Amino acid sequence: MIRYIGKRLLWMIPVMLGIAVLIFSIMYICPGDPAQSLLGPSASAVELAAKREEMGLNDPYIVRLGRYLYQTFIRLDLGTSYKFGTSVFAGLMERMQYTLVIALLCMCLQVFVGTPLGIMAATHHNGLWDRISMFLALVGVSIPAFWLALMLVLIFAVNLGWLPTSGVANGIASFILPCIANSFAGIASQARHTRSSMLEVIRSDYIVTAKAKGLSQKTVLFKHALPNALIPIITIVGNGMGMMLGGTVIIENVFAIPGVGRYMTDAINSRDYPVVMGGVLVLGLIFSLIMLLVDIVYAFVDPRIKAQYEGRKGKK
Amino acid sequence: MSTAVNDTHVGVRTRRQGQLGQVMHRLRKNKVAMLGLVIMLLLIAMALLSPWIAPYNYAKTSKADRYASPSWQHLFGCDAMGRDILSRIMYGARASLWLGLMSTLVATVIGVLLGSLVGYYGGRVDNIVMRILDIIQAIPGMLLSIAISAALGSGIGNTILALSIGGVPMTVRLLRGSILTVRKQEYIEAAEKINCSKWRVITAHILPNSIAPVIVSVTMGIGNTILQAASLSYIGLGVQPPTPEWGAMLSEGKSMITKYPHLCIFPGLAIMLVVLCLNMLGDGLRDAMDPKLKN
Repeated sequence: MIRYIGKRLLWMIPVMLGIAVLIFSIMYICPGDPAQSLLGPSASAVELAAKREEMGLNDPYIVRLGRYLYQTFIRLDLGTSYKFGTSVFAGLMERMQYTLVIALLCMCLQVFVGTPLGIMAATHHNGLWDRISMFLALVGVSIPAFWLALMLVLIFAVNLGWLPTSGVANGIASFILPCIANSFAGIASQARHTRSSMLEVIRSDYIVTAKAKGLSQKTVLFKHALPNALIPIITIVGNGMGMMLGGTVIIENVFAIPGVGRYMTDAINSRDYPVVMGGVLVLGLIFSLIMLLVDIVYAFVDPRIKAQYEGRKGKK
Repeated sequence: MSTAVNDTHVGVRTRRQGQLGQVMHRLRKNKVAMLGLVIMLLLIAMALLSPWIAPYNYAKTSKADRYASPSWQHLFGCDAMGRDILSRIMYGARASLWLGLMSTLVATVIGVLLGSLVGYYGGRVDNIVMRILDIIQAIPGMLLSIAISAALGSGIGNTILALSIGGVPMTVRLLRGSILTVRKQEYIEAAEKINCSKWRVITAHILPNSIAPVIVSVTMGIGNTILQAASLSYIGLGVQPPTPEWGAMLSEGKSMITKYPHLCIFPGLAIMLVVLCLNMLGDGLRDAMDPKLKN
């Protein structure tokens, strides 16, 4: 197991390098001139040329890419923001708390609300509860998160005045609407996947056997069906985290939350490349770590995968 | 002899049609999916016919109608420049639907090409392609679309590209997995042994038997892509005003939402309706193609 984790961690190095090359190349073809946005519209042509030379913007692609990779991976420096003149890493860390809080709260909502909903729908298959919750889930995966956010603000903040419209000044109350808006689709999709996974398991022979043995409905459901149904759902949780991290970028814009997402969209608009690249790298790293965690949990939960791995180790 | 060959040929063909027919038959019995399909077709018709059926020109401004509330004259009201929102939604369907359909199509074509390549050949090609896709998948999809669309600039073509790249890895993975199970079957070996060209083996024998999961995921994917496209336009990337597009309309209306909520309510409802119909259709297709749910 430890060797497997180590191998996966090692494999993350080329993935991170790949992300860095990819995002650098994307930013390389970005239109606009960072020197211009740094010096402002009043800068003269000479000043601009000097600044470009100083920043190394005139060097060929491969030289700049090499310099970027060296700076990022050898010196572990994400660079300095063009706009603020401060360290990108510090800027990201300062804002990361908001993004992580939202993403993690959304994850919890997805798992702890979506899964029970799906189980209830499956156990009441074709019943009223199944139909209502699946209709809601279908609507849930079809709603644009930012529109839901706007509507929630309109109802709960503007008309009822219960919750703040934007910002983070009100503590936990500031996070309620963003989290609901951002996790709604995740909860819905979790419920849908849990339901279909449960239904598939309930139809299998060993559940019939368990019922035939005379076990109670509860034991059959929670001891026999659920553990097997949960295995495919773990993958959904990992993917959900990616959706939540991407989704916070939009949601932070709607609610004016000073998180990483807003930092990055502002940076895109002001051509602040180091911030964009640093943000993508850090979010990519977090996402990869979570996917690794998901795979480890997967191996722990599913004895078949564990055995497969241990069998391979035995051969070597 | 030749009649015999013809007969088997005909036999094969009818059976394949029969399979598709079965799927269609099961789909037709699914009322929810059919409702989704009908509304979707109506919406597509509305988008195509918008110059003739829209009550007003989408670009016609009118000072008197600025922020007009919904009324019989302007069913959905008017925006900040006095433009009729219903007409803009009808025209906007063109951009929104086009973005969703085209991005998914581009992603699917690339995904199916790559997927059949790596699934059929395996080995080193497989390894290289899959590792590259690992890298693309390590970036959350929305983030990747935002970055690419910032790099390429706004506009429909660039947005399609930005949205489709994130969808490729998923299609490749699905198809590759499904091809790997088909690949070892006897009929593929038989086709190879009678000297079918590789192209023919892949297109005539492997793909028809492994494409089902991709079709389902594509149908579901269109809805998701439309949501992503709208999000991009909403944060100021993607399609930009004055082109009417639902996400962009929301973006224009959001600053006035407290005073004039109708600016935001209707474009959002339009997005939701389209995605809901596509998901209903996708659910139906998934059930119809699932051999376990037959009869």
